[in-house]
Amino acid sequence: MARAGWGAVAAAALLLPLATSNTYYLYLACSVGLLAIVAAGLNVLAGFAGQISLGHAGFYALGAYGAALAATGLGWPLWASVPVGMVAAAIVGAAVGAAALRVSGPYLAMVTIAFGIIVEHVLMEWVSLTGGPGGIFNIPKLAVGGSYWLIAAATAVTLWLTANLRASAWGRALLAVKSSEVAAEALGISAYLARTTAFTISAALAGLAGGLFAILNGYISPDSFTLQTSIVFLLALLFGGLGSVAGPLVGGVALTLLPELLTGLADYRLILYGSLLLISIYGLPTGVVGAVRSRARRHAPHPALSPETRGREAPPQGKGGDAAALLEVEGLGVSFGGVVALSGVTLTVPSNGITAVIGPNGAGKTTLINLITGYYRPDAGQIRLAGEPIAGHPPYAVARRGVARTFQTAQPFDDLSVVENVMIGVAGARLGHLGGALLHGPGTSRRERALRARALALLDAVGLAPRAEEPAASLPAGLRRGLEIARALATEPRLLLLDEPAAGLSPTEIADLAARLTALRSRGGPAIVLVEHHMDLVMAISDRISVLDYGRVIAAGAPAAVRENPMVIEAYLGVPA
Amino acid sequence: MSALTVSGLSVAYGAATVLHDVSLEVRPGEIVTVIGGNGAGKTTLLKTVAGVLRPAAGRIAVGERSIAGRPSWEVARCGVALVPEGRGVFGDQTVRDNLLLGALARADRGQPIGPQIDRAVAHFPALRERLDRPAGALSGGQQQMLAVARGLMAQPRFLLLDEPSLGLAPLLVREIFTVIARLRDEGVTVLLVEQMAAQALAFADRAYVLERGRVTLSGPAHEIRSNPDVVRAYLGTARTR
Repeated sequence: MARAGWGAVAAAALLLPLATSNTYYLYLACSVGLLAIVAAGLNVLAGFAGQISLGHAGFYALGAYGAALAATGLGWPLWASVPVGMVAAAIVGAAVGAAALRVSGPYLAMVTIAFGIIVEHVLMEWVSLTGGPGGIFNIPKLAVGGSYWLIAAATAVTLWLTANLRASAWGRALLAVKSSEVAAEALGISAYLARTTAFTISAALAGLAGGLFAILNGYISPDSFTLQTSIVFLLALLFGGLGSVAGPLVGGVALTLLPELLTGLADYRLILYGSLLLISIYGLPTGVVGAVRSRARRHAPHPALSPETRGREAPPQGKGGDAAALLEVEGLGVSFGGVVALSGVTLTVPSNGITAVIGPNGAGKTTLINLITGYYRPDAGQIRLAGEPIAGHPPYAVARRGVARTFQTAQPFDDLSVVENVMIGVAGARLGHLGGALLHGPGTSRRERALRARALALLDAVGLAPRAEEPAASLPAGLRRGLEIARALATEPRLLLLDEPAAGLSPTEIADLAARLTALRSRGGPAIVLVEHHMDLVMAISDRISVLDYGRVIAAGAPAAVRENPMVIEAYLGVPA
Repeated sequence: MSALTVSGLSVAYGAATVLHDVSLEVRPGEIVTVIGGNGAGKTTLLKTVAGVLRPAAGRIAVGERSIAGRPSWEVARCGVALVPEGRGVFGDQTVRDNLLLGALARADRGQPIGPQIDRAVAHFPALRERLDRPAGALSGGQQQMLAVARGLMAQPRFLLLDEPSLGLAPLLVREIFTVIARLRDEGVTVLLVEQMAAQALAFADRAYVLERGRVTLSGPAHEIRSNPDVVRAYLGTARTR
């Protein structure tokens, strides 16, 4: 269905100039294309990476002025001056993104508003360069027909690029950061780098549209680049459908044509925009495209997993077989707001086997995992992985050294399918070439197939293969944990930290989990640190146990010895029933 | 006092029907437990009774009063309190503020609130020591206790508990089931969803087994507990301490 829809759009775009030579209609169609290009760029930022910008009119302006100055001041030809605007917007976008993305959410929205206003005022005040409020005249321009073909091609390429990006390891990484930043970092993805990349791409596309705008009109002035323009950009995206590839085009059509149809009501344009915004938020929370798609999905048969795509779990190559210490924690201490959470904790994890950490609620078990994986910075002590200090390194850097983890409250990436969740783990920090992802080169297709096959094999091993194409959000609590373990194993870690993997599982499922963990151990899989309250599980599969209470290790040793330790019974186990 | 009755309940997420024609009854003063595997529809059942989800068909009533499809705040004011799975505490606010928020739906809004907070945390010493700490600074297990205590602040007639033992240390698991039994003795009626089926059945009066969205078995808890199918599917190795 989607293919037929795109075919119809392409046919309409090809036929329009043949059907009419009315320049007004062609000009409108050009405006649709420009708005769709900017909205598609914003889609990469907001729809994929989850960050809002209210300053993209600024990048649109940089593109327009860059192209106009190259054409008028330097006398460059059109084909060279439009890229000048695009590159200018991309460079400024990378710089603004790198500085502004230290904050996110509403703060980022405020920073981008400020950026847009600054650009607008520079355009007004720097008269010698920009012509001030009067703008720049006499930009060499194409005939409307020529502009039409140029803009139609640019729109098509832009939508194609964003569709490729969405289907690549980069696109999944951006969605992962949007869905759960902490979980993404646990897989080796730098959230900051991912957001900055998305911001730069969106700025470049806004710049491209700006350059095309300049040569379409032959005249630009600061009036075209106000805060209201930025709002229309965002509104087009929200109305069309945030996160979908076709959304920007639908929004571009709606936000261009509606004001034209209602020219008599020009004074009420802001009211119209306000109403559209309310309609999209209340009536179409996933935009026009989302609404159409969910209707279509209701009638479509369930996509069954075809047998040839179902891989087999390959036995992992044994990593290290010696019993040397993989993780050494020494004298570790941390306190929060004067409350000591851990003090003097020492723990050694050999390079294979299962090390359990047990203790009462609030003893500091999760804090210990957060310290090892870089989410907290210790106040005292050492953490060494294979002899190298890792304390204080950011989570994604620790993950890249082969440390994977799960979370007490499972954090799958809800916006993505089950198999895509695991593919993010398989790819990890190796997102491939960004250019390749945008252009969908042959290498990228091969990579994608390999990633998917590996992910399906991992899902098969945890019994989730039949649900591979479902959205992760639809899984019940117990299966979300299974997915998270598969995703962590996908990174092929040396050390796997599991934070209460059996919580919320039924006894049968706990038995399955025990079997899977012992199978991993016997295949020489990663060293496992298990934080868990189900004593049957802990006693049955652990090679050694450390007991934490009030932030200190009160006992350590073999399961049988720990079970009989009077301090452990007193603090944790209670008198056996 | 009136009972909580569910009859012919069906619930769907989009095209997928999750509950099929489910009927059950919770009589005053009982602990009723619903057991079943992951994905059987237990959480969906509790959420629908509490008004978080809308049923596709069927009747939910407190006594004669129908609450099916009513918004959750209204259901709460009928004396039905849900303690959701996964805690859902307000991390930026203190433990005390979390408890006060739980009291919004209580019946006797004229009474002083202090003694009621004391009563709610009496069962959970760890919370009593941390009333003025932000809830986000509690450990996972302590947040679970806070979620239960917050449910009690509404002075509910019906307390819906979704896996209260989740993430609790063995000592506390036993403690929380003791607390639930004590609440029943104080007159609170409890509908309990649990993965720790052995403990839940030991404390419950009656039980329902939910499989793939249908009730496949129901009866007194001690009978369910000795049913060979249940032992095989849900009790198995689970001699959790």
